[in-house]
Amino acid sequence: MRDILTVDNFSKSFKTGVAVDHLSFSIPKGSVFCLLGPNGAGKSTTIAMLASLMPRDEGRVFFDGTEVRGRPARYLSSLGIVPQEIALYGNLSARANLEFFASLYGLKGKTRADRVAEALEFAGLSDRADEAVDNFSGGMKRRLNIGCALCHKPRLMIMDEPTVGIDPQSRNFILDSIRRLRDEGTTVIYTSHYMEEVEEIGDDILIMDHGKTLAEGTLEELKSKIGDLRHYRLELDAKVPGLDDAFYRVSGMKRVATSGSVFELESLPAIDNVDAIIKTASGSGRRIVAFSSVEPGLEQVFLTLTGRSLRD
Amino acid sequence: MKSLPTLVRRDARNMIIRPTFLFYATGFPLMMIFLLGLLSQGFYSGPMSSWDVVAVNLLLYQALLSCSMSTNSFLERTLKAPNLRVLFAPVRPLDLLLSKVLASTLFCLGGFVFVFVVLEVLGVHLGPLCGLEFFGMIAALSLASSALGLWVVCLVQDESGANMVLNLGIGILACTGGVFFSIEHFGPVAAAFARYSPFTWLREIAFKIIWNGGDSMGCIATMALSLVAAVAFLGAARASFKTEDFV
Repeated sequence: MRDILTVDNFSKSFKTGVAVDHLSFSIPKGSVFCLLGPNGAGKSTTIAMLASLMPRDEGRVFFDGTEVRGRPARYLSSLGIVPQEIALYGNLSARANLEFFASLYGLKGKTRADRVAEALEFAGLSDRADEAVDNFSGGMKRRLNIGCALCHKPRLMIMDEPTVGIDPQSRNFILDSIRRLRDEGTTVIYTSHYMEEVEEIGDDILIMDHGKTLAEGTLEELKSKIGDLRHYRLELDAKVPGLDDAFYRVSGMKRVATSGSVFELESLPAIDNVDAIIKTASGSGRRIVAFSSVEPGLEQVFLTLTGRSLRD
Repeated sequence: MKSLPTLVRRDARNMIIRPTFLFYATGFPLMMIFLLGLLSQGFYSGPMSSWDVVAVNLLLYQALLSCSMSTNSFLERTLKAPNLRVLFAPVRPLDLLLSKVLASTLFCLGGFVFVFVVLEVLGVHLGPLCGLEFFGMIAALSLASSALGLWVVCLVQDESGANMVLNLGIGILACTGGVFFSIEHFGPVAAAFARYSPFTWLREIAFKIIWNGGDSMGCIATMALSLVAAVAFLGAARASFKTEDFV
């Protein structure tokens, strides 16, 4: 499958520090490419550079094999960008918003009316099309935010944390709509700090932190990076300073990460050490609130790569 | 460039649908003219009534306040994010800036038309042809002020901060120029300020246009200077505007 977008060595620094540090990746046509990382990882800066809104200090970007410089109209017409913020006119109806933003891409007349109707259908807002956006729920606004980026039928959709602060129903609607877009041949770049979403929709996943690539690949490839260690999650009723050192003394223990009173433990599979883990925890004098074996996922990948939780 | 008419229409409509803006462009100047006209009744002798003088002063002042519209349409809280989305489209950043200047000027001119009609009906003298020459001067000043507002907001990157700076500057200009009261009797320093205030110059031209059978040269000079200033401010705004500041 040919790559629709190639990012080569993207770098960007601000006065406060390095935001994106020599980031490179390629995205095959018709796939969902996820940028996963904690807040401040550099995801939105990367998106702003891809959207030609922010000049990069270094690096190049190729769209469909052609290098992108400045703000070429052909490239911008091929992009559909869903910003993190709700970027709509609140006092206008959903239809008026869609019509206005579609007209900026040269759509008019019947073509525009048809595309607007399609976008309303896609966002599940056909029955509320003529209602002012200010009256919408957060989820409806988010869906319309996506609809406004769709009217001109972009080849590449860039979505910057589109599910922030919405109800589970709207979240599922958005994730389903991303799958539909992919099935229709649209390439999607999806940034998030929610691992569950990325695990659900990502064909390729790039984990980044402090502007750098930590790992990249399919979900299975990323999981394989953490080997076949056993993962446990243990929660006490209060913090216990120094307990992580005690866990390291348990036979077979490879890694211990703490977040408050929660411990993420990684241990060799050949050694049966559950008793020893519980004994160590009990010996701390605190009550065990929860203890579970964890199925390895992106959270564990991030933990293994950085030594800290994605939610920290 | 193709998107410019669409952007101007959108920005102008965004202003029209706001009651506070409509009041600011129509009710506010009429109210101020009424109040100050009432307070200064009997101050002027000859054919000029206090309403005639106050109307000219406040219409000039109002033209300079057009800058508030462009700052608002550019960075107001609810409009900043849609403006960002405009920049995602194949739209030149200059068109986005130009649309703010043109829309705020058109909106303010709509307000001035209303105010002129009301004043004409009430018998306030605004010059020959229902004040057409004076209206042209006001229109050009409004355009320059809108462009100035945009430049300042691009520099300050904050709508309320920009409005504070602009209102302060225009307020000082208006006070020294005698919009609300004459400062000449406060001593020689104040008199010098008044004499060299650009606002005094504008008032003198306006009164010549309206009462002394016209000052076409002064009027043309004001319009030409305003147009040059508008272009310069717009250029400065484009140079100051960084699309990444919107992110």
